Amino acid sequence: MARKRKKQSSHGGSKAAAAAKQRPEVREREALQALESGHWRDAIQALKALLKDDPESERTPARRRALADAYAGRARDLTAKGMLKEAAVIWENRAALGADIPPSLDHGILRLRLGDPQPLIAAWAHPDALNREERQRVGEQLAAAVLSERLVGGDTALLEQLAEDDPIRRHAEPAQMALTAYCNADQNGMEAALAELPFRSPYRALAILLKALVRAETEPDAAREMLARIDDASAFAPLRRAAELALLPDAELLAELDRAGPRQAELVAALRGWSNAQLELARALASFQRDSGRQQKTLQPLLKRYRDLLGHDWAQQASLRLMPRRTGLLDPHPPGWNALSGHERALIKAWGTEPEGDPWDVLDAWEMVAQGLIAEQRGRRDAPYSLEIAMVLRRGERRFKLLETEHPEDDLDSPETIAAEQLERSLQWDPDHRETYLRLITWYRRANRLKDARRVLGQAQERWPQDMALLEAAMETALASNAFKKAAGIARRMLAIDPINSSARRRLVEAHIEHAAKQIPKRRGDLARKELAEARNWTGRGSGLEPVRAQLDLLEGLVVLALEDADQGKAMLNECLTQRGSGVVAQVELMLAVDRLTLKQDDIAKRLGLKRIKVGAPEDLRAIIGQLRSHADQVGHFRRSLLERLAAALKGAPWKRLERNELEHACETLRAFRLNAARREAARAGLNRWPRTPMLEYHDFDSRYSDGGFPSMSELDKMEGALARAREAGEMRAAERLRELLQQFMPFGRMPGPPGFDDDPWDDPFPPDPKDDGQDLGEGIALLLQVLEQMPLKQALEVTGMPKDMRRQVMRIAREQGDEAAVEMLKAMIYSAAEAAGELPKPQGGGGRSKARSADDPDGPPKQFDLF
Amino acid sequence: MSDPFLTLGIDPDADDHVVESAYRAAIKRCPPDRDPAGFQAVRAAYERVRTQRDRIAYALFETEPPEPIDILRRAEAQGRREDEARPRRPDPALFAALLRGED
Repeated sequence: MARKRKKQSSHGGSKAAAAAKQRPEVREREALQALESGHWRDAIQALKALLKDDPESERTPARRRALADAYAGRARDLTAKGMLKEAAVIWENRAALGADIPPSLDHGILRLRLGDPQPLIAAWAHPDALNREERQRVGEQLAAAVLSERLVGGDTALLEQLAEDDPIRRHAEPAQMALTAYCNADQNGMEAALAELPFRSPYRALAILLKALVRAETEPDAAREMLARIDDASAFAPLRRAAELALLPDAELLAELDRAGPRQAELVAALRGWSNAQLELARALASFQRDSGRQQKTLQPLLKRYRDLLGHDWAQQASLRLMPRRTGLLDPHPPGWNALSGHERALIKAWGTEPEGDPWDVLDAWEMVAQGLIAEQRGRRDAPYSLEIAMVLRRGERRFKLLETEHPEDDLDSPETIAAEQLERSLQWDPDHRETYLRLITWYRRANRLKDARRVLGQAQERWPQDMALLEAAMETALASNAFKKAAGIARRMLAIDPINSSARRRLVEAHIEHAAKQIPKRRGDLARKELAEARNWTGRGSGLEPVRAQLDLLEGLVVLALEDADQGKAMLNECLTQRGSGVVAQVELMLAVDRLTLKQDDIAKRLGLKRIKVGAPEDLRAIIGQLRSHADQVGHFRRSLLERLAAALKGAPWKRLERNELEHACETLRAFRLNAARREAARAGLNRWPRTPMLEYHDFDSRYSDGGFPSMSELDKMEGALARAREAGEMRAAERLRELLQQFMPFGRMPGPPGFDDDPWDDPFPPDPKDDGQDLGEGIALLLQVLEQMPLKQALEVTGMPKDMRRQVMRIAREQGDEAAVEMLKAMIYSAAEAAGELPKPQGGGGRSKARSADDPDGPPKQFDLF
Repeated sequence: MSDPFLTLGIDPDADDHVVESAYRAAIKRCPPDRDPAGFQAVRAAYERVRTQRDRIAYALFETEPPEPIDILRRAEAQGRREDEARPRRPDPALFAALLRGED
């Protein structure tokens, strides 16, 4: 340390020596710059040296005043840091500069704080020497000192040095009484004492403060405004600052509390009604919050130490949420934590399983929680306990929305079946949850477990006989059971409750049309027409069902043509087509009607003398896309003959005349029909006009490979580019679809790309030596196999980037047959895929893309590797 | 997200009526025109624990760890309950210390 000081001093000396060589004017300018910038120490050093080196200068008085200012600045800094004695020395140095340096009030105030009131008393005794503000300041300082003395022990030494009629002396008594009354919560006493303090009393800031503190208990905003009236330079400002701190919102208070001194913190605690333990805790939390790098779990010791203060139950619940998540077994007495009950351990495991676990694990984890609760409950069935169990039993299904699937997997071990069973049991504990009944009914109906659907429906309808959602579910279930009369009865009930409900009518119409179609193979034209007549009855008054009514004319004509009277049917259909203008739009509508009745397209066209159509006009194209959309919404499945006719009709359609949104809409519709060639035409037409449109890029890629085949590596790169652009443009729907598409082609992500993905024989101008292929493939496969062999299966599947659905399937196999069997299966698939890769077409020397493709499928995608 | 019970100033075992009353009192303290952020926090807290099912779901499925501010508020709420009648007034000696410049 000594060496350091010496070094500093030597450095300072050389600096001073260097400075001394400069001209005094330059040195003075630099010193004044330091003073201006608040670099007090530099200014003091420079000015002292200048006064010593150039004492005869006419600038000496001005330099001395500048030095006095530098001393004052430095002394105030030291005071603010709490270095009062050091500050006092600096003030003394300033005072020693000469009689022409006026005494500073701050110096007097500091001496007062250090126990010497004489300078301020002297200043107070000569009011003419002070301006109004200075007089007020001195008065407040002396008043605060008097009050402080009286509060701690009734010392009157300072008081007695003041004249008897001095306001500081005269008002000291009521000021002290007011403060004491406030501290004793004696409102009347406080008000009476404050009434004795006149407006211009040196204790006026105290009066404002006390009133604000009382008001803070009910009107914090008003209190803050009152406190703001106490000046920063006031002797009562430290009290104001502490009171303002106590009034801060919680979050800000924590941040400020860390910077507050112990006395200020004590006042905050007192004003907020905190105990000592609370204050301790608050300061510890403030310090935790300051250190943002600290892990949340380090709050645990605080929860443990202050659990009496926080309440044991609350502290334990908070602790559980700080605990690192575990999916395996938990120690009932984890070191550093409170003992865990069986329920708590099960809960932590379930929390740990949820984010990453597959549905089996999650369902299983919550089942364990439910079983624990049931065991703890010991027969009690009061609401909170029963609801807890029910909600836990529903959690797994809710997490994955398992029963919302369109295609239920109804085997005993499927997550859906397990979830359905858990939901059924949940109803025993909480039979008033309508949503659960509805989920079960829908799932059972989709899984064709109609008996179960009816059973659950019966239970629900006992509780809510007029509920529209349940009536709708009942109608759907009746229709699924071909119970048309029952469905019609339910629809009538629904319409009695809600006469403008068109969805019930629409659904019944659809069901009758479906039923009519079922009569066609049986050649029961009478029954088919009867169903269509029923359908027509239901469309009778329904608004918004006009297109359906028009379609029924076509359907009826088709039934007559196909099964009853060809001439009459032909006449009926020709009339329908004439009404529709006999163009391509009318013919497409007819094709869709033919499809609904499962009739043969060619046969009907031949009977009606219709030729294959081509869509040439953009308005026709728009109308047809609209028809197809509506048909897709109603039907959802289509016969191959319809698709072939539509594909032929749409080939070469005027896509380029459509706008961008029309093309995107058209692509969506064509995707539903799997009309991929037309979709690709539409997408490419759009991309020609609006290049790099993410959704159109998606349709372009997807339509190319929807019917099979795999993209080359460069195409995958392009897809990734499109994905990045979609994300950048905020087109999240396109981005999500592109992401799914990429994942479909790269189940293992880019690590290590499945064999065959790495070579793009058409794009690479320097195709690799075929001999090297095996080595490249070998490296990728070796890495893949290494991952599978060395990591736990679940982790390995995640690392490879395999899609979630596939991971679930593999994990299911692992459950049923063991991890080893699952790994062996995957290895076999990888080896087999590697073999298949060996059959990839090799690039031909100098051949372009078209030459390299298979001759029998010139438009098809390149043959690639299919691992899954 | 802060603990909704602490935001509303109620116990986790409060019933619907208590939650409703606490919510109404809280929005009077933070009306949307004067304290939009406070109102939003109160509203969000209320939505999370409005019904018994909400409160059970919170207890079972909420895994968010407590924030320091939650712990502070909890200690404050507990302290208030245990010492409801005690006036929140400092000792005169503390005023004296602060007036002497001790902070």
